[in-house]
Amino acid sequence: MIFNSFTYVFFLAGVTLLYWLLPRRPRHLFLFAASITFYGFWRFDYVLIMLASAFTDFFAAINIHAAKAPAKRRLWLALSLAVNFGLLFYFKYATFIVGNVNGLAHLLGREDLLKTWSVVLPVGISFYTFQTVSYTVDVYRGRIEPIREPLLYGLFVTYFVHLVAGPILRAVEVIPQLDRRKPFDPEFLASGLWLILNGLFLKCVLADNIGGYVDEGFGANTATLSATDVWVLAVLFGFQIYFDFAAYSQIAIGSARLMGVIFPPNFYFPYVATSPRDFWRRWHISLSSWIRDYLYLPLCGVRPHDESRGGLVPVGDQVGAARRNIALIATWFIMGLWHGAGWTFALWGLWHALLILVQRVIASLGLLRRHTRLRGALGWAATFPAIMLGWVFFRAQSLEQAWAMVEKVMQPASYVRLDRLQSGYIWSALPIGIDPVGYLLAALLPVATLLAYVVYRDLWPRLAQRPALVLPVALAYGTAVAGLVFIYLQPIRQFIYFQF
Amino acid sequence: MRDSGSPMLRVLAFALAVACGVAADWWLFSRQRQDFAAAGLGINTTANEASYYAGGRQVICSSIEDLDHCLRALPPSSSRKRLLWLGWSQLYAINDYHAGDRTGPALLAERLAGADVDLIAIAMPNINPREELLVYEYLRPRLKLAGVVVPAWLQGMKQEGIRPTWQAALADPAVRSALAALPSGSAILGSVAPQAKSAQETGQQNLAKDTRTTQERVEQRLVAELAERFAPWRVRSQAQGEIKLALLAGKEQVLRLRNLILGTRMANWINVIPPVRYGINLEAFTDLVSAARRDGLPVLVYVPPRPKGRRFPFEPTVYATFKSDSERIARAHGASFANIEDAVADEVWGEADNGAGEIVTDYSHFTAAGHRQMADALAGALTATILPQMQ
Repeated sequence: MIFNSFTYVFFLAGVTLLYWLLPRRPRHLFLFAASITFYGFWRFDYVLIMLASAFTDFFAAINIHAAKAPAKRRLWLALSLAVNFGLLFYFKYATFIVGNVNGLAHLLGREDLLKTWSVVLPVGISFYTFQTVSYTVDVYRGRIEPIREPLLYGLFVTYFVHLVAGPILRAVEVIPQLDRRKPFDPEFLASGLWLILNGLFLKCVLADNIGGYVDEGFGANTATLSATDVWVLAVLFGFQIYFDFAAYSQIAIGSARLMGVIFPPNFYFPYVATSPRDFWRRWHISLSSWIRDYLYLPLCGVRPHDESRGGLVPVGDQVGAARRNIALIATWFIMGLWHGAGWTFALWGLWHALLILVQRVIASLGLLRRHTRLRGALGWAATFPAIMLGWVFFRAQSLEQAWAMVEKVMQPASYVRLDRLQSGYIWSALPIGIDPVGYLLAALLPVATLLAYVVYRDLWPRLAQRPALVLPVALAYGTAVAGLVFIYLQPIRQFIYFQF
Repeated sequence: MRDSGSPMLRVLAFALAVACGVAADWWLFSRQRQDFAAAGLGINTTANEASYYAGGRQVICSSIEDLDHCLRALPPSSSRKRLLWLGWSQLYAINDYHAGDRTGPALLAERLAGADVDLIAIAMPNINPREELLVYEYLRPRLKLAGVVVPAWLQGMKQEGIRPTWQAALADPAVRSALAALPSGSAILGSVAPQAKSAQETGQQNLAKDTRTTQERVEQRLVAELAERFAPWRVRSQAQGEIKLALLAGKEQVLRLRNLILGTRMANWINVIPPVRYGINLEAFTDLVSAARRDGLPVLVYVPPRPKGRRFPFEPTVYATFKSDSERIARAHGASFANIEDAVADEVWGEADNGAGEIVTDYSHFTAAGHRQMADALAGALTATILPQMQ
């Protein structure tokens, strides 16, 4: 089931009502059944794959905890990882690897070495795999006790609000909240409903409408695009994916709140980031925190954290520069491939590794230490385009297209069509290969984001202290947003992160 | 709305905001019925249903709902041939309309009736080749066509998307499978979620092999129910259209500002067609011609009338390339090609606001006299090309 549909609106209303009416035991069973139904609305047969992944970890965790001998504990952990990553590998990466092996064979003048096949990627497999793996690893590390109640554990994995596109949460953050329901508080409804409305607005009104320009531009013959077209497309896609994914996260967090379950925020104005590292403290925070605790810090040999907050952290001088850099590059390469089985995604990951490496070098120079504001402004001015350019790798349909687009950006001649200047048509000399509205949007969106950030950070807290003003402002804002959501709410396109 | 104030008050504010939002949609868009067909027409240019008729039969239709009017009035097909003419507002809009004026399709239909050919024109504002392809695939099994007339119209290459009034055609499994077999078809199918017209149609679809997910089936049923039972629902497509027009008006203001700053005038302004969109539309245009030819139908691709002595706001090289592209595609698929761009005299063209406060020659619409000239020219082209093949 997808969030931007009327089906979900009715489903959520019914589930929330019954959730608060039912006592504990039937409540767990009901929520588990609702979650299976939610997933089954896409494909019921793939529910079994999800349950196989989940319950392997359930039993593995109990056995890890019970085992005294380290070798036995490692064996159970290995079994869990093999099953989880085996499924992920088969569904997500096997055809990619086969394609690469055959491609290499063709380069050497040979026939296909391996047989190809097609397989439907289970929705959300990357998310629930990371979630169940983190649970087993946490039990192995002795951070948490294993859960003995299969239903409660099944609910933790399949809980519909974060099942298919996160946030990727730790067992310790979710299970106690699901197990011991808090008494009903109108605050749950108040915050949850507004978050859901905001999320639907971001998705249906903003992301889906920007998506049309993005699809058209990236679906075009790259030769017809100018450098400015590429920048515009990069910015448009950057905002489309942000609105899309932030929308999913807000609806997920809002839906959980309706049931009194509190999830940490997953996005915090990522495009106001003043450095690449700052960006990853604001973008998909639960994923960057997961990567930090289960990949980057272990690779650095540093003790990991215990929660899906905070995003990336610097390890400082705790480890040598060489180890840190290798860990960083390996982490980002895997992070890229987690997003999709393709070299374009791997390149996107490596691009971010490069940005962070460059940031380390610049930071080590200690420039503008006393000029915090200027440093912030310059940091933003460098970070924003760098992040946006990275989205070209992410969205491009092939490596060739990604290279061709980035090449355009590097060519000064590609910014203006000099031959057209002599034709007497000013407009045609401007290097526009895509809809001019796309240009307007690309110019307006960063400005609007900065404004929204200032309003959220500075203006709203001040306004909130004056209750007489809050209600009319909230009503005006809510009326406009709800009116637009009502007009545009339809499942035109799935959330982008579903495919990961 | 970040945590502030009493929770109950915020819940109430939310409920009130949703109610006000839906009520505002209803209030704004149920009363203000914008005629989208007329919205883009020039000064004193109008669309008049009375001018669509030939021999008491409605010849021009624009949407699936409207199509019934055209199809019902057709004589039985056993002894007659059906000719489909695809086009945009040039086919139905008349500048300086007077009672009794007739459109080109109506005039042409009268002439062809004597040759046992029933003309049906599907025309909508700024039609694009993807829509033309969809209309063709939708009509082909329903109409037993004998020939197709397709305009090579440059402005259409700038347009995109499938308008809501034709999206229901994508719910037809036959249309979907026909499109899926074409290079541009998968993009068309991917661009729009199939929408059922009604609960009844949803039921009919279920009789065919159903490949939809549970989500899609439930959503379609819910949407159909909402459309039937919840009045504000019915303003949604109207609202989407109105908002789009409002945004276009806003865009025009931006263009005016640009013109003010750059000193741009019609003398140096051209209508830019993004190459990306040109490529996408040319692929759909090719698919339309090749699909009709593969179905064994004679096809006439024609370059439509344009004001030749006045400013035509396209770059000449782009226009020349487009004409040669169209001719090449037509010839490559064994279709006929005719150029009637000079068929309509300069004096009968209308005028339009160019969106930047200047009155210029309308390069798309003309008076009733122009419609007669267009019908004459096309009748000649048909006689010289595909009419004998249809006979």
